[in-house]
Amino acid sequence: MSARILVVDDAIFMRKMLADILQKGGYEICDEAGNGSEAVQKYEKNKPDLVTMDIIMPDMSGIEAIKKIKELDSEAKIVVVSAMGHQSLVVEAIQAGAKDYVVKPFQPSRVIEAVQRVLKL
Amino acid sequence: MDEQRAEYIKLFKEESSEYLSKLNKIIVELEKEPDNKKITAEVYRIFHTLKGMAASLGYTEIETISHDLEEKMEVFKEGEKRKVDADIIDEVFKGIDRIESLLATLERQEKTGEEASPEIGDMPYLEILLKEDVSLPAARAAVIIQRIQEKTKIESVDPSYEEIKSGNIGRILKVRCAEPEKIIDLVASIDEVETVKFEDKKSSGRTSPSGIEGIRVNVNMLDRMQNLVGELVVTTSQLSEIIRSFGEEKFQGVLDLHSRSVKELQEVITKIRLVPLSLIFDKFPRYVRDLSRKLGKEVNIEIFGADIEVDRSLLEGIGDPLIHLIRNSVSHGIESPEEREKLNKHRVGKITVSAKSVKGDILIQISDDGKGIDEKEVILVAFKRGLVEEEEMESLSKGEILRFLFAPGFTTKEKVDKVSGRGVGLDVVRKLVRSVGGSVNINTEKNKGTTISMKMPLSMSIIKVYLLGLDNQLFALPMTFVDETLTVSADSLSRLMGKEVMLLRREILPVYRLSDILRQRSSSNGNQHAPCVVVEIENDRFAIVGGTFRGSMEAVVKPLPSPIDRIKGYIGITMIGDGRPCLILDLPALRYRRSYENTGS
Ligand SMILES: [Mg+2]
Repeated sequence: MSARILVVDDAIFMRKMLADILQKGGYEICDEAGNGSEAVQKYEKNKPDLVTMDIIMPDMSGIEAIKKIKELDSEAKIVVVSAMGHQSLVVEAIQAGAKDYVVKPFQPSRVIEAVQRVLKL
Repeated sequence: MDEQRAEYIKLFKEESSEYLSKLNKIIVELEKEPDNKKITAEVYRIFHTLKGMAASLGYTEIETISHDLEEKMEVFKEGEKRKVDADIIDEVFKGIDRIESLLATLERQEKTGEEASPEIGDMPYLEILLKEDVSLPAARAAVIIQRIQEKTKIESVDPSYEEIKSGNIGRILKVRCAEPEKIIDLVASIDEVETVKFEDKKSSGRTSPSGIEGIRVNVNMLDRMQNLVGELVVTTSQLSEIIRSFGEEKFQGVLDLHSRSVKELQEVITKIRLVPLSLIFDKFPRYVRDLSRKLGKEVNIEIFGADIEVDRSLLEGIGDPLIHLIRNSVSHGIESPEEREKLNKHRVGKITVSAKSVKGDILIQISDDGKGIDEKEVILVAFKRGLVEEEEMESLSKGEILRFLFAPGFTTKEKVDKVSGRGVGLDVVRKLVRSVGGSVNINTEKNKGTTISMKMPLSMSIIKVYLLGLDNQLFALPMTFVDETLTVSADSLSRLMGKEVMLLRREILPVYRLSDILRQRSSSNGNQHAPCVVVEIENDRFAIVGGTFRGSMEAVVKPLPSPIDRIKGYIGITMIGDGRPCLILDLPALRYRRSYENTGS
């Protein structure tokens, strides 16, 4: 069975791109979320194998969402997908429990590599 | 361009346009409250998001502008003491405008690098999507082009003939030709065609601030869907009438199910056509800001009811009139700050745009606290233009006076100004609002301000109507124009200066007989008790008396079949329960077809 992934990003456009790449890579997209609190909710509901997490989002940022998800499930596997120029935020996200990161704009292969690596952990 | 990239670009354009119109709105707010950190953070976030999206598609200029503005906004974020200043606001506006114009040229940009093909440009064209499994798409395209050529003149095709010949064609074929709307059905009927869209960039263009990006494409399909459902509703009611006449009980169960599904389908389609008014309301703050600056005025705009949802076609229909009215308010209504202070008014003028639903209709009002319109001046201009006789001038009511403002080209301005082009131009507004089945009212008071109210049905395809019978015919009267209904007795009608009137509470209303309005000779005029419908159209209140009340209903509006469609006075046709057709009255057209007010023919 292919791994189930929750895609989180506030831009529909980015979610679509990520979902296409992941699906082509053989993964199943179990759900999508457009902000941090929706991400936490949908994590609880879907119990996905992995989350791709944007950082700058309305309502609740990705960093906070990572913390909340980790509280729910300390084993949660999260890959940060964020635009360049926010190294400190990415570091913060890793500290909060994200396992890897991909910088936008991304090569499809970079996304797949990161997801594969984290799923194997 | 490969199909997936085309899809991404479309999505990118749509989402970016939404972000930009949001930016336009909140930046105007931020300009007024420069220490609002919440808005600051949102502006920052939007540029950040735009940057990420643009970078993913390789649009470097949009990426660079967004990145630059993202960084500039960062120093004003939460925890930072600095307030945004006029410079950064100006830069943001410039950035928004630049990104907007870049977005508009994206498709063309995509084409560069490819073989030069005829520019489809901004002319209307047909976009034909071939079925997925067409084996020889180039040959098929050639056949389609040939079939179109038999009917009309083709201006250009994309991909070009040469490209098609060399087999260089995907599933999409664009054809620019004369009268594309007339051959759309022919093309749709070709076997290998999946869908065909009529694209008219001009009428949804970016030049007008009311243009709505990205939804026009779907509207054509949705319109067709809605028409088809309309057909279904009609045939279903005809079917049930036939079955009833046979007295066959065994069909009843399945017929009921069928009717229910059709009704549900109709509701669903009506719903998916709904869009929030914010799609155009959000553009107003920026528009008012830019225009008032240009004119040296200070104006605030307040907006209410932007979350109300209306039919897409209605939204498109009211965009231009609304902009027109707001422009009038800023340029003619609101005085200069100095003038306002002299009049003891706040130097900042106020415009209010509000929308609310009223009994299935939508009421949109635009008010300003400016100088108002001077009734005396209106009468004088009306007299000079021969719209009123000298001896009548004394006895005109306020409603009658204000109605002159709707006369074509009417203006009280000495010189036609540059901004509005043609002064008040309310006739134009009225024409547009009427075309979506509504009417306009004005209320104005000298030095206090002006309020323009527009009332129209939420959707032009399903409207609430009263049914009136006259002899053996039924007529549907749209409720949008109806203020109240009552029954009157013959002796409550009287005559005033030779015209029939009635007294309703303390108001004298002119009375028109239904049969006169419909120009029908009728035997049923002499009823002792007759229905009376009080109508209000464009500051004109009157009563329609006669006929018989036959209830009310939600009518699915069907266009009139030719050759009846050339007769003025009916907006369409609907089917009543027993499958009989019933004409829907175009009250403004009927009422004014012989008056001084040219109904815009
Ligand atoms: Mg984001």
